[in-house]
Amino acid sequence: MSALEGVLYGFTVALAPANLLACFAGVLIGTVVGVLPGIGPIGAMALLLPSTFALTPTSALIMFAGIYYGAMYGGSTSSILVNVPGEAASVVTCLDGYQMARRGRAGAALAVAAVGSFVAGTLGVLGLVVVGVGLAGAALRFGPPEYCALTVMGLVVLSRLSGGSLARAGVMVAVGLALGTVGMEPMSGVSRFTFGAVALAQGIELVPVAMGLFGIAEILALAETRGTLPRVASVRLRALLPTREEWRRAVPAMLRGSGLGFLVGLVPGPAAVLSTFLSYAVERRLARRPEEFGHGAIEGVAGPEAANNGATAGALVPLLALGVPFAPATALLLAALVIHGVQPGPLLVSQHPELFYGVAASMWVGNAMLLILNLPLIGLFVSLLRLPQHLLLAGIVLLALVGTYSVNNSLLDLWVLVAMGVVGWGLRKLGFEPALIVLALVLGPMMEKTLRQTLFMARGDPWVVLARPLTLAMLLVAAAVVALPPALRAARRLAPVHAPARHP
Amino acid sequence: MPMPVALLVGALLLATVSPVALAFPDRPITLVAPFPAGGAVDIVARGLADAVKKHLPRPVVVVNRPGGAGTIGMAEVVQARPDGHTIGLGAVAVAAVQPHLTALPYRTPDDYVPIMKLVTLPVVVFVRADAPFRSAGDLLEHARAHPGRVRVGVPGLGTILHLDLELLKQMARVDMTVVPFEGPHQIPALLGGHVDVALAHPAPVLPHVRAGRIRVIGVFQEGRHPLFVDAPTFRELGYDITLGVYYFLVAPRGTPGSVVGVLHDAFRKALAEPAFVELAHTHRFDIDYRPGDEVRRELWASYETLGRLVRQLGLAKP
Repeated sequence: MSALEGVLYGFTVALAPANLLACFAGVLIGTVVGVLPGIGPIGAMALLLPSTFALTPTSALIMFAGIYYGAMYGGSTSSILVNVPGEAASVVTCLDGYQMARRGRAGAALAVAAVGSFVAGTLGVLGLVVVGVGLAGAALRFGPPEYCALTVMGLVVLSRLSGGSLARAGVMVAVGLALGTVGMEPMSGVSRFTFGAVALAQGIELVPVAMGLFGIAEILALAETRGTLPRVASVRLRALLPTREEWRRAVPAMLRGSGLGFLVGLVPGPAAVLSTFLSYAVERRLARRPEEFGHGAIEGVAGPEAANNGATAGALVPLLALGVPFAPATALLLAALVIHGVQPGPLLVSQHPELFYGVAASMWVGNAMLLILNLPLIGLFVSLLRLPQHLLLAGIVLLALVGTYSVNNSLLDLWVLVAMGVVGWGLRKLGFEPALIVLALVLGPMMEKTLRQTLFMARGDPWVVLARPLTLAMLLVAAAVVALPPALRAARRLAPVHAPARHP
Repeated sequence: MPMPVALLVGALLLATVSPVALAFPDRPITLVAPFPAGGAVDIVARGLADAVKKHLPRPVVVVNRPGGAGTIGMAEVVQARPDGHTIGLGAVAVAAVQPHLTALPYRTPDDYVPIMKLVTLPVVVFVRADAPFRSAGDLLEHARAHPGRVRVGVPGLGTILHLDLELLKQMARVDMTVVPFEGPHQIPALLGGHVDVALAHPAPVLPHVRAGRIRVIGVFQEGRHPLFVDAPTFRELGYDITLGVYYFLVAPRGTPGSVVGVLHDAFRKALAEPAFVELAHTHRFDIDYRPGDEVRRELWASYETLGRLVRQLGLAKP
């Protein structure tokens, strides 16, 4: 079956009433858990897993995939309107989305996020069908040394996320890395920094840290200053849509974000979260006015929101072609298949074409549904801000607490949430960038794990690492990012000596 | 005191003296699955909760308490009130290996009540289809000739799969380099050529075997595996290592014998339910019933041998 035939066949599967219903249920649930702080797609899928027994494997995967990418749509809403990330992959959206809302452009930010997600979803499905299986082969060439170099490079490059001083960024990264070492080390079972408390063995989870640093901290800050959430004068759809100029800036960012996100989806780790950081860093680097970032740059919303959707499509490649989940969320997509006895692998496309093409086509259908669902809802979501603020904020705190608890049934997660709220509140007073803690918490454990695997493989022989061209290239890029700016500054100091000679 | 009132008082007294003896279970039973939703432990737990419905008057509710390589959930069960309303799915590594690695609220198999063994997941050893080793014998010979050169991917240090490999290394007197991965990530690492050999459970390996990319060269169990009949057991090759990953039903210490009996009988019937047998077939695990005292003996044996092994490997806490 060619890709085109496959897609056509896929649409007949995706448009069958039962699958259409599964798709709609998935994207609706996804949007809701995305909007609600605390509970994200992983928690929702874990809760719903037993109910998928009643579905066919194809319907089950269609529904779960819908929850996964649907949450990426919903997540941006609460980030933009109240600076509370709906889920971890929307942390970056807080940086500029909330600033846009403060300037009265909440509607534009929401619209751009929804359209960006749709663009990325469409391109991602295309990528999955056309190059998907081939890319899985390419992903196999990445072994522990490559992944280790990739995380080193990622950490170095992305820690320059928001500008500001290198030392301040370094402190935040160090805090994030340190938090990532708490708990039982997953490869050898050694407990670290648990002080004998068994509960701490589970470690510091990403969700409560992200919710605390952004959501709870924002609410504390509002309570302290008696500040107000952004006010929106008009909720007429016309006034909420982006202007021509905003579109012009957002569309290229969406396209770049889509591509980046898809590629990051192929890498083991929380791909959706990482892709948003990467896209934000790229947009800031390419922007004509990088100083706007952090003050409501529309590219900073469009790029990351497209990227996290692209990543959901990319993450399906290793899942379906190798049968191995690379991201925590795709582990649950896999579970939805294996409870029906379908173990994906290299033969999935030929043995279960209805599943592969059906899910791919349904993702496009689901993305279209989400767009239709989300654009009219913008008005509704924006009017939420008209609720009495004390009720809205208390409600958000309650939802964050309940949602966070529901993921692991863990009281520790609640304490982390509250503590991180206080920490985040303090950090913004001191002018630190809390997003870097989230970034380091994601990358740190990946870096440590792959470094250890590399060391095991190397047995003390550095050539094992340096003889791999990809690894070497990535490490050199990381070194250049650290070394070049000071070197250039030094060069500039020397330059005036020669300058008069050239321009007498 | 009129007769009916006296009877009532008597009944109340009796109820406060031995509440469980009268009516167990008197509310839903919590079954703690110490690993995340969607994993093998979770699938077994949910399958059992469903299959046991017919055999208990109250429902069994699965609660996932992941983290700490299963120790958090196990600790929760061990510390629960011993009335049978909180039980858990124990895993052999969580019970027999983890206490050697870290300080936990339980140590030996005497600190909890193993009710019965439920299922076993076999351990298979495999290479890429284009690997130079045709058989496990080839592999060991090659490893003997090139000490430390063969890289073996295992899912984490201190797991049963890792320790099976270490036992093999000791018995065969060969040196191979162990590379630990998380979950089934040793499979893509093998396919990409980053390790030469890997160990896993049958389910995630099977699609790659059918696609002709992976060849299974040995199994750690007593008899040959029906899906990989060409692969010898390591016992046949002269290395008597048959420990697979098994799950057992566990209750807190002090749970009354009568309650343990009720649970044992109900879950034993659940293991024979057609839906559960079907589930076991789908997920390639083996239903492996053994009574509680036998499980305790097996756990003690594993606790001793694997404890010695992790100390030799330097994994145990100092």
